[in-house]
Amino acid sequence: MQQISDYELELMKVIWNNDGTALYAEIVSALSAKGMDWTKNTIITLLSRLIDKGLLKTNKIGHRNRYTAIVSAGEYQASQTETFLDKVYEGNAKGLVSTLIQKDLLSPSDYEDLMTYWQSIKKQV
Amino acid sequence: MNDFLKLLLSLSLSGTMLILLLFLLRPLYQNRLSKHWQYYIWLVVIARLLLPWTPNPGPVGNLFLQIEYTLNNLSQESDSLEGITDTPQLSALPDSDSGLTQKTDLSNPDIDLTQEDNHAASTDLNARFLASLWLTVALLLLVRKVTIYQSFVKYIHAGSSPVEDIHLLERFGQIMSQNKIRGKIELYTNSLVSSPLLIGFIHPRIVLPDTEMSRNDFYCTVLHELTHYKRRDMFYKWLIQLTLCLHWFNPFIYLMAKEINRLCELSCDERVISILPENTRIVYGDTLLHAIGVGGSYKDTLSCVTLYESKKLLKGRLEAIMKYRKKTRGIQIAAAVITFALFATALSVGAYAAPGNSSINSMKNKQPSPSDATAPDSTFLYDEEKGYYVYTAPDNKYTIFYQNNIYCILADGATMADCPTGGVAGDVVLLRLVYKDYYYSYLFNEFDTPDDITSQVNSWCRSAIQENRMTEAQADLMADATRHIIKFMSTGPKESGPSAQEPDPKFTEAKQIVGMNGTYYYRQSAYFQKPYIIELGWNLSERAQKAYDVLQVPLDDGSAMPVYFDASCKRFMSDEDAVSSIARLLSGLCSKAYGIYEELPIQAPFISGLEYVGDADLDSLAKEYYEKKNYSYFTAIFLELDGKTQQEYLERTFRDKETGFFMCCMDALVDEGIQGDTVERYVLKSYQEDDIAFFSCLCDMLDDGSKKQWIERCTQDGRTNYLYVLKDDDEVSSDETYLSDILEEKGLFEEYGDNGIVPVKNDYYYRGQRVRILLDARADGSFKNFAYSNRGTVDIRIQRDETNAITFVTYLSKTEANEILDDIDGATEGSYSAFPLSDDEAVSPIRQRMSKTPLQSND
Repeated sequence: MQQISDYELELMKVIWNNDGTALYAEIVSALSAKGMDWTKNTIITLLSRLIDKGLLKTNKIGHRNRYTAIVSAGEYQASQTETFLDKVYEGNAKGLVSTLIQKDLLSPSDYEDLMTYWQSIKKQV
Repeated sequence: MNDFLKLLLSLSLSGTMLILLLFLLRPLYQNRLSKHWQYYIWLVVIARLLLPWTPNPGPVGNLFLQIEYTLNNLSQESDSLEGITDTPQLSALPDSDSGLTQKTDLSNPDIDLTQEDNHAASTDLNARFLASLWLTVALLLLVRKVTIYQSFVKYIHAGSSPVEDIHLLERFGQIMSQNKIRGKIELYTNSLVSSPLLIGFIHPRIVLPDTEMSRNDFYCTVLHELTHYKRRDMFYKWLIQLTLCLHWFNPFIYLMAKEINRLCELSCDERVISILPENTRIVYGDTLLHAIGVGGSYKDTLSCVTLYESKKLLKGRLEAIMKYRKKTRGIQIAAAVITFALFATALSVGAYAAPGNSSINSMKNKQPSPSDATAPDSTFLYDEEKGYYVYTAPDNKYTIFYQNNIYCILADGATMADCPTGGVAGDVVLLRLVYKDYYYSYLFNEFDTPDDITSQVNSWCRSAIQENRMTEAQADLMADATRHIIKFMSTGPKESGPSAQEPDPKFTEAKQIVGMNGTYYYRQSAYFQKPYIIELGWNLSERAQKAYDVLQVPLDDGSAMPVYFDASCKRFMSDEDAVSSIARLLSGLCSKAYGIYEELPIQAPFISGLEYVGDADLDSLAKEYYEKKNYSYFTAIFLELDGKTQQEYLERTFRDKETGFFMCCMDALVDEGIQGDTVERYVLKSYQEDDIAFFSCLCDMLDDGSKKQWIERCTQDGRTNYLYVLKDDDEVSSDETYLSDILEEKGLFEEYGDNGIVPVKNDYYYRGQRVRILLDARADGSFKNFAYSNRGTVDIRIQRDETNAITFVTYLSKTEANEILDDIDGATEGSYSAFPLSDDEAVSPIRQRMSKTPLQSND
């Protein structure tokens, strides 16, 4: 998956939060709710870059464009995490988790939740 | 020569003339007119170079036609020369054997033919070779240009990276929205480009050498490129490239291309500066200079729009920036005038028009061509015995008989016996399409132009078809016959007739007199003189008198009067009863001293029709002629009927919409001075029943006093169509004085004048513009005056206060105007487009006009 800029990610978040699909007008209002009053050309440029990068597709409804995410938020996070893991921890996931716990980024209750989740997956297999 | 090649060369030549003209005039306009204009004026030249369309051949077209004819003649001469050298050899052959001579005679044209073929074939081959050579080069050039461009685009794209900096993107987006530029334009950087540039037609992108530039530089650069984008300069550039490819052999086109390129940047700068605040010009100049410093190695200025192109050009651009000032209105008008003049020149310089076009046909017509022989022959032959002009259509489809302004088109085997009798008076021409059991009649005016007649007959046929009174085939026949008749009318009879020069001198002369002072010189009416119906004309011209047989008829007072007889009535000259009836009629008419008989006393009478009716009952005769639609004879009987029956017929013809009969009856009554209040009554009736046809006929008969009253009434009622009818007939008050007269009468003239509203002819003008809607409203909202003209361009409202004094005059808003237009029936269609787009524009009429000149609509 190609890397996207912070601003492009903001756009993706808007679309993900809108059930993975949004009209231009919906994107504009969601962005301005976040305090990002970008100009039309900026938004359209960023959207078209996302399309070029294969994260979005567009189809016309009348003469309005509907943007739909091809990549879900989960898929994006997974792929970004993999990249990060490879880059920083050289694929060592344990190192990542221990860092998270050491720096209190992962609370004990979060840890318990994850454990239960892990047990349930193991049973199914 | 190949037609295509000729067309191309002629376009190239025309275009070159325009190019030279613009270059020669350049010192005059260079510093006076806007760069914008100087840039777009070349579009006219390009249009001339690319579009073969031309209204007439013009000098260039004629030049090519002349060359063509010279070439043709040359080839013909050389052919005939060869033919001559051949002939002696051939004729030297023994001609004792007639069979052999014939053979050589036959073979001679064969030889000529083959030679001509060879000649034509060789020139044709050359032309084809040239044409294909040209085409190949043009195509190769075009392909090369396109591929170069494509590889350039690829190269730029490959090295470009999108601008990620959201602040830069935002600044860019803001500049776009400030300048109302729609669409999506990407912003890229590419360190390989030497200067900022705009690239791409469908997905335009601006490529900057780098993003490390000052805020001002960024602003100016982007604004410059966006201006290129907004003006669609890429398309213009490719249009030039296309022209270059097509006219690759013409060096002047390359000169032009260079000039347009220069002007493209200059006019773009001009536009940018007009957007920038006054004191930032220097900043823009700085940007241009900075642009030289940065940049990479790749430099190709082909067909993409860059900020900086060459040092020399840059110098000019910097100068222009500093000299820039807003063009005054006078300059703008001058520019518009020159634009128009150049357009006109472009059209009149002309082009070679391919054969088949009318222009070449006109040229061909100068020489006798074989096609003339096959053209329809409209010769009317004169039938001495019967006194008719006769034309027979090919295949005997129909025959036209012409006599005394009546054309009878006999179809489907109908004969003259099937024709209704009776004549027409004055300048009226009657067209009759006669079948065995029925016929159609159509009247038109002798002075109508051929085009008028054609269109009149056409529309009459069409309405008859719609009402199922006529079939398509009949209409076609009518149209065909009309063509021949028009030709006959315009050329006159070719064969010997009673007057070979002029077909019917009495009408021709009558026409002249009518044309001069509006009184009838020749007059013709039918009269009932028991036991005959006599159709009598008088005041036959001297020239016409010679054409007819004459008989001295003794009158009651003992004198004798020469009476002329039409050929169709010749047989009655020896009929004593008939002659004595004529004598009685003439004596009676001579003693009448009123109306038409006083205005135009009986002189040189002419018998154009005569029918024996014996003791027949008048009522049944009238009925018969009415049904036969014999206007003339009916009118004769009508006058003999008692007053009550006359009124009944008037009522009946009015009800049946028989305008012809109605007017004949009415005319007869008026002529005899026994109309009483009939005219007034029917004018009112037709007005109330909204029958403008009757109204227009009748208002001729109104005297000046009652006409004035009707004009007032129609004005008050706002029935403009009736007003026009009245005004058309009103010879006293002509177009020029009419509207102002009405205003004068109403006391509005000066009041309007004080407020800038002036009547010119039949339209109001406000501040020099023709008014479409004029609304003169009182304080209570009612209208004091209302006028509408579909030729007008501005809508105005005159507002009055309680004392009915004008408080102000304003333009109507578009909505108001449209509401009013909706209320006016029919007449408004298609007039919306002429309406100014907003109130704002209506206030500034000149600017509005300027923005409509086609070349300036691009911005």
